[in-house]
Amino acid sequence: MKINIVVFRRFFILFTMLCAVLSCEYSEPHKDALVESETMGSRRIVRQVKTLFEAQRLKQDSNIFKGNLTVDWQSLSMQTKDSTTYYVFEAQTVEKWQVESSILQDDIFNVIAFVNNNNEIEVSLLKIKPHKESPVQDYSFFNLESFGGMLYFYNLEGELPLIAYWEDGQMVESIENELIPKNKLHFSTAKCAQKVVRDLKLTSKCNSLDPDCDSNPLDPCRGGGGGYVPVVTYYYTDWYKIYSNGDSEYTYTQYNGSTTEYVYVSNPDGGNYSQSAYSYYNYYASGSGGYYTNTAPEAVAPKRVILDTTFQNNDKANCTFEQLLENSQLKRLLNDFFGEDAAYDLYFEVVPNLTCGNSGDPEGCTSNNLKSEGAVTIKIDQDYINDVQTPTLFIAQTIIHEAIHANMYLAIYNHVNGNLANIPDVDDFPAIYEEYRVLNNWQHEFMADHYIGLIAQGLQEVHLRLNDQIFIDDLVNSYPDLTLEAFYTNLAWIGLNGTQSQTTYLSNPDNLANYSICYEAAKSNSTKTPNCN
Amino acid sequence: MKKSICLIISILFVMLSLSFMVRRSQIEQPLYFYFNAQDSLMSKKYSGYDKITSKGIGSLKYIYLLENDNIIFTPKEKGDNPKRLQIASKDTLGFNVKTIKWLKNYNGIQRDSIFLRKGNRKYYVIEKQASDNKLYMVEVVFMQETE
Repeated sequence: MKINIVVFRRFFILFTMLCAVLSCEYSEPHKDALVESETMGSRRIVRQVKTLFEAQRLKQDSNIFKGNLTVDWQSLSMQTKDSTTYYVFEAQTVEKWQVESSILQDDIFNVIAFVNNNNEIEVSLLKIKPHKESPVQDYSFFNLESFGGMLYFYNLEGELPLIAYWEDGQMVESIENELIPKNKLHFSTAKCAQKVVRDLKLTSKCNSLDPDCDSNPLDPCRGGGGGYVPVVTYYYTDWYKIYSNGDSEYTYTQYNGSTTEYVYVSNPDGGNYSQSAYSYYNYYASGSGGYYTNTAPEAVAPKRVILDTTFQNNDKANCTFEQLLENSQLKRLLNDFFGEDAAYDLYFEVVPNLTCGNSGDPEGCTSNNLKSEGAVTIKIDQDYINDVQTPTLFIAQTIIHEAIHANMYLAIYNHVNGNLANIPDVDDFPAIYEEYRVLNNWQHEFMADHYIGLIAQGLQEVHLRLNDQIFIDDLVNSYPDLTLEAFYTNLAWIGLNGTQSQTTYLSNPDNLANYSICYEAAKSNSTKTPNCN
Repeated sequence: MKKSICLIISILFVMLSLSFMVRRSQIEQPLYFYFNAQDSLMSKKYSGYDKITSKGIGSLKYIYLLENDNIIFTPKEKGDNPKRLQIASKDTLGFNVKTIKWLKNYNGIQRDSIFLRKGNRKYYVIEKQASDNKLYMVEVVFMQETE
């Protein structure tokens, strides 16, 4: 009950602010607000607003919205209405989060504060998102004349309690995020409205397979007028290598997070209405007065290797991976994983205390989330990477090993769904799958039988890039009978313990001795320092 | 005239029925799996002997120990507080709850087909919470993990 009161109070405050914007005839802004701010009262409020805002920013450092917002505390403007003085500061996001849009102008941010009846300072963030059709102006909380677009009121927790849609300087509709009014969404039944509210919260859409809610002549999800659709923006940075001859080559994509906004879309024709972000884009793509298609187009996700910040921030993992990207064997694995037009993601993460199924203490783990998330995730154990006894060559081996698992998972997924399976060096994956699937630990059995050569070649290639030449020279001098090919082949068996092929291989005393020599030599003497150049 | 009207109504009825059936067929029935978080044993009500592992009480991972592979469900809503819908014990009878025995009727390839095929099938885990000894239903997603 207490929570409800707090939520209600916050909503009430924000709604009051919106009303203030809407209905009030503001007095002209103070011409010399900065001078006024020099008064004791204003200075105290400015200081307190700044303290409140910065304190919350520290708590919410991972929040994309606030973590990238800079406030110009010198830009104070004030207006008083009904004995309440509103303090407004200009703010902007760091440039890297600005997204070029053909339908929206750049975002404008205001920090708004006022003193409530309990003599407490209330602080909110206002994001103003003008449509392209809206006249280009310096819109602000105090200046919404001719404004068309969306207003987003955020609280300092980064939540979005209130949004409003405006046209020609007038508010058309407003909506409170948690309790979307059913009548505002134009749904004829409470059941469907509840469903859509739920879907909106999940940033999904009206379930296209629900016979009660789509493709139905009596579709309660249909309706004229318009409504709010969630627009999720995913932020990525593509990284390319630039060569001296000017050529460039894609390396990987860094995932920076996502934001979700609710956008009001009007539908003057009263045609089919699909609650999806795609409809929103379709609408604007079709021009003013267009209509919605009831069939959302397929989302075409680019092929992506996504490095989590835990991976990027770990030099040993990240720099070794960078060197592996120069490796033709890993490139083969990645190319086969993605194929020509696959819409799958491959995530890399570093996690503490890694668990993997019912395995004891794994160094790496590959998780198949293809059905639920369209992704495979490769996790590497943090302690294993950071261990001073773990050479970068072992980390490279783990990454290649897990990348092969990723390929197998994708191949199975494709096979089960009737698609051509992508996997290196295997012509007839379905037959191989049938053969191995009955075995315990079948992926490792398969890897041991078919991929030792690929892993060994990959290790030999990347080792030259790990700043480990001294170890290689010493190895050649110390073990003249051991070829480098044999050294990398022995390392390729790591992680395949218990497989039939490894058992057979190690049953030969010479192989067993060589395996032990190679493993111990690499563990003791191979470099543990990543090559980040 | 009456005959014609009756014929038209009959045709419309058949068409509507077929249309409804086609739409219904697009929705795959959810699969429900039962876990007892208190002692990590499959409920005797559904299976008397198949042991399962639940990684810690209230853990987010639920694992069937099968012969050849791990089948893992994780709550659809990530985080420490997945939505749990409390259900009465008698309600589970209508869910056609699946057991280890049911899964073991399929070979590995068939199991992969059940869980990996594209579709809209939902999975739910019905778990008995140790804290209050009540049954809760959690929507989960299927995943696999390999070391």
